[in-house]
Amino acid sequence: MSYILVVDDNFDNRHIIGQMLQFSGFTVELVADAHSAIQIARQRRPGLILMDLSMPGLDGWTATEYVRRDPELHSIPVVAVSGHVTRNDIERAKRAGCVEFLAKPIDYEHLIEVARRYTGQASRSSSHTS
Amino acid sequence: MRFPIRVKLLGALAIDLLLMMILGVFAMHQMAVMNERAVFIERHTIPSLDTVGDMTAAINRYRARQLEFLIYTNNGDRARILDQMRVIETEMTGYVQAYRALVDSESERRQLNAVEAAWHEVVRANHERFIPAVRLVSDGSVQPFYSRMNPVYATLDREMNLLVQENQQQARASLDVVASSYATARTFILFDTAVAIIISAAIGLFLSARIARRLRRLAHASNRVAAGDFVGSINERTRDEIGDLARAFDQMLSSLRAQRAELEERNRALQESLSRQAQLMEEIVRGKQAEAEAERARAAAEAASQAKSAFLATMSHELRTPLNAILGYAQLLHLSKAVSEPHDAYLERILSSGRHLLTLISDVLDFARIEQGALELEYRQVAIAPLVEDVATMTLPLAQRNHNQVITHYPADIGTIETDDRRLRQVLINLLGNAAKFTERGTIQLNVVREQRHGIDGVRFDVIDTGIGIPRDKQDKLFKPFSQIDESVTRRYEGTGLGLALSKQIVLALGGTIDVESDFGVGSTFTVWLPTAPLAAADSTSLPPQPHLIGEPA
Repeated sequence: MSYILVVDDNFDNRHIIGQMLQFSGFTVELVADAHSAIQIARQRRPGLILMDLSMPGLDGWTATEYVRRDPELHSIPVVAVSGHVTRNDIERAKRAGCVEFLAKPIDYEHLIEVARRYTGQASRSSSHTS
Repeated sequence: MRFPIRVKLLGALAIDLLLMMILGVFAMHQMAVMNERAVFIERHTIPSLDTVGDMTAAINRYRARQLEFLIYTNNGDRARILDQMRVIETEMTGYVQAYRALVDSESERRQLNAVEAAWHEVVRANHERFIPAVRLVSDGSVQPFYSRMNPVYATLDREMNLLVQENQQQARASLDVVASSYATARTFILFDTAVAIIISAAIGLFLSARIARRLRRLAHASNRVAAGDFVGSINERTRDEIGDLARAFDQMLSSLRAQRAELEERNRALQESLSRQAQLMEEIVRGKQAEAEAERARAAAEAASQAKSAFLATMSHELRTPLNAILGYAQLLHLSKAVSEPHDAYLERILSSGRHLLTLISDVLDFARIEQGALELEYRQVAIAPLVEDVATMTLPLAQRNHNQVITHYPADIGTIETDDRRLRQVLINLLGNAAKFTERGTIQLNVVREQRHGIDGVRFDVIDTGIGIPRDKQDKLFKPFSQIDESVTRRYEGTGLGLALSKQIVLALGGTIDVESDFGVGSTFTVWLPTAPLAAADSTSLPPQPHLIGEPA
């Protein structure tokens, strides 16, 4: 099973995402800030990072950009998870290097579909929902 | 009168001069006549009368010698007296000759001859009869001899008298001529002078009156012009100096008129331009004020809008965070199957309510964005058939809850449309969702056809339901925010009241139209028409430039 790193400063959010992923068989590690996330990523090389954007300290956009530029980490896909859902927010996340944008509140099925897509596990469906 | 005034005046003067000259010539002539008569009297009548006097005296002396011849009887005295007689005879002959030289008429000559003849008769009687008779008688009785001389002397006296009369006659005739010449000259001079005066006066008065009248007309016209009245003209037709002046005046007047007309025209144009300018200024000032006001209002609105925007974004995010927790844990509970029936149904209600809340939050946010004109559109080519199938499929659960059928209908070659995929889906889902909510045990159709409107290629989407319908008087309020047809409906059917208003704004932003046709209790048809490609005219940058004419009526 792939190993997924979940970064979110909000306990409920990271807990829910973690539980949903674990329920679907993923191995997850939950981190509350971007600094720790980058350190852990260096040590354990996750298959996917789910990154909250708006966080105190190092924010998700900057952290994603860092991951994209770091030669050791740049192969790891980063998916943004945010309650900021305007087109601008989404654009900004894509510019920072996020491969996908998941809007909060998290829809279980959508989350699993995206996780499977980027960790290389067979996905149940490729159908697109809005 | 076609002559210059100078000629007229000279003409008048010439007439006077002519009259004067005639007068002069005539007076000279008359004077010559009188002079001639005077000379005649001086050279002829006066010497003639003198001579006649001398002759009379000589005759008297002759008679006296005869008497002496009678009285003196001695021969010595008689011889002396006889000598004296002969001297007188010679004297007399000289007088007759002197007179003869003065004779100038035939009657006078005859009379002189008669006198001479009578004188010769006296001399002959003296020498042939008197003296011889007296010599014969020496006793002193000589009286009869002297008496016998009386008839001869009487004849001589008579002839002498006739000669004197002749002379007097001549003198009187000359005097008559002089008197008549004088009378004629006087009459003529009086008449001529009178005529000259009358002609001069007539010409002078006429000319001066005429000139004065014409000058007065000119002066009057000048005063009128000076007072600013350029109307009318003098119309003087006479060709003299005043006529020239009048014509020059008329010309000046017409030139003045033309100038004034031009001036007035220019003045009017100037006034017009001034008033236009004033109007322009006023409009510019008003425009500036309005602009400034609009700018202030816009700035205020923008500030408010930005504040609102920021507030909405924050609210949206802040609402999503707890909602995420609610929906997340509910999903986890559902997944873990830790909750058994009937409590699992409660979880479903939590999830569906949470999702509904999420839709509401999205709608409110979208609507706020549209109100601020901040709706971002992302055009791309969208295949219509899959899109229709997608939205129909997504509506299906909601439709089935009310036991409705969902039917789609479109030509196989319906093709693509260049539009914002996400927004079009949003509109269609909203319309289909409404149809599903307000219809029970009926059908919901989604028909799609290509349709040209106003020469523009487009696609028409009809969402047709067999639901409760919308009363006609409520239809126009339908697309306004927060206006579901009544509160009971709102309570029965979930909805923000924002869906249709939002759909309409989105369709308009995409350059299309949205309409409704509905019979209350029978069903409703919502029609969305969108252009197959974004309209150039819908792009504000390619709109024809707004006429920016200052002074154009608003």
